[in-house]
Amino acid sequence: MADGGGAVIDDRFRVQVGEFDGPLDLLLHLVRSHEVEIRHLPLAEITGEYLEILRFLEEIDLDPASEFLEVAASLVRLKAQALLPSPSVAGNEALDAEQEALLEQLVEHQVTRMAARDLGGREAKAASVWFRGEPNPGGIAAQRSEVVEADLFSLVAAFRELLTDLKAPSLFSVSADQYPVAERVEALRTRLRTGEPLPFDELFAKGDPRGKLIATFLALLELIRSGEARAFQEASFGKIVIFPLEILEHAQ
Amino acid sequence: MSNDPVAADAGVGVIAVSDEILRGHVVPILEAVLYAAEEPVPVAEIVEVLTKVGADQDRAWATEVSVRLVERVAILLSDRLMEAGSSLQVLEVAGGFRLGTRPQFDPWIRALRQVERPSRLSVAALETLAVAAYRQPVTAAEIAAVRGVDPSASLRTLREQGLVRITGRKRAVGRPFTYGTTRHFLEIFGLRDLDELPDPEEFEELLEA
Repeated sequence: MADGGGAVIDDRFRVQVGEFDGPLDLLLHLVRSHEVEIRHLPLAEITGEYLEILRFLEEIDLDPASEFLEVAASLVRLKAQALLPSPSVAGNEALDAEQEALLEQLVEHQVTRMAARDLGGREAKAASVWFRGEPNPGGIAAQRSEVVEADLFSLVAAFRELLTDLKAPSLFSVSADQYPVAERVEALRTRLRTGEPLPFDELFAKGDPRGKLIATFLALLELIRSGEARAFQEASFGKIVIFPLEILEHAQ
Repeated sequence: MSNDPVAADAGVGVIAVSDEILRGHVVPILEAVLYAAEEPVPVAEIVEVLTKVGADQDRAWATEVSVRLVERVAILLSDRLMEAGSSLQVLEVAGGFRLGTRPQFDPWIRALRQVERPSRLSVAALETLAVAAYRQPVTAAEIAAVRGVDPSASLRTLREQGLVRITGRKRAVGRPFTYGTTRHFLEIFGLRDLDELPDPEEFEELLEA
């Protein structure tokens, strides 16, 4: 990763994927994109996509934590089982149990996400009721209730799409420190300082080399992680917009 | 949902004071008390105030004040505000009553106070909060098992915001802390109590639909 062709990024901004979302979130992201019910998840099909995204994460210098690799190993085992005639019934049963356990974990995770969304809705609703002596109950504005916070994999998916659309030249011609993330963080901060929401696509200029695009993306993740910006999306797979959070609000 | 006006069927039962007397004498007192309070007023406190001051002022109803009577008065106040077309409503939050504006007036107040911002909690924090709310008392390791991600950063944020607190230690190896939600959590999310949260099975049914 850092020593490969993508050595564009200085280490102070190394972003761990696990600080945002885990492997279960990635699987759920894939489930959503397939529009299937979790229990009918085509595991064999999804294995390829899962590995592809892990590769992409490494390519853009994001560290997938070890939990991602554990789930990847599970998926590969399950896929191999689906393709090969099984040597023993006992081995088969163990794999069935593994698949069952993984799906159960996914269902439970999805239920948690739904409960979290329900809570978010309640907060938004409660925030539209005002009380005396309560200056800032906060909450997302009622008219924006269709907007959801974009998770890491939605951002990654949007970024991949954008790289393809822009047909950005590859990293080969990029020198190691040409696009330090620290610099991109500053640039992004300046743009957000206007206080206006920024559409995700507008963060990236058409003619920019791939290395600069990647550094800008990592800079965005850094600002989201530090709480200076939040990414919202019009429903699932909708347009992503970046909102600056005022320093004051961050401090409270 | 406690952010809804007080339910019309709550607190029915034998109340020794007629609605007419309640409307004429007790409803305005409750309105004044709730108006002046800056936090939800627990029912027990309202009972105490009505009994004590009512007795001091020789009100005939003062000896009849009960939790049920206060709940009835809250409904009558709620009805009165509704019928009068008031922009205020009575809410039952975190075990007490309070007066708040109706949601449709949000844009005006928001403009006045110049508030326009997204929810203060990230998805990660909301997920951790959901696990804490549904499974309390719960350890960080148990939350990590459900979310597939280390929850310590979210737990710190939630504790700083007063939404989650340490409730004790689990009798297990390492005696890990257990976490649960706070009263402030109920207020922020407009909940009367934890039972008001939907059953997790409802979500699972949605998944299978």
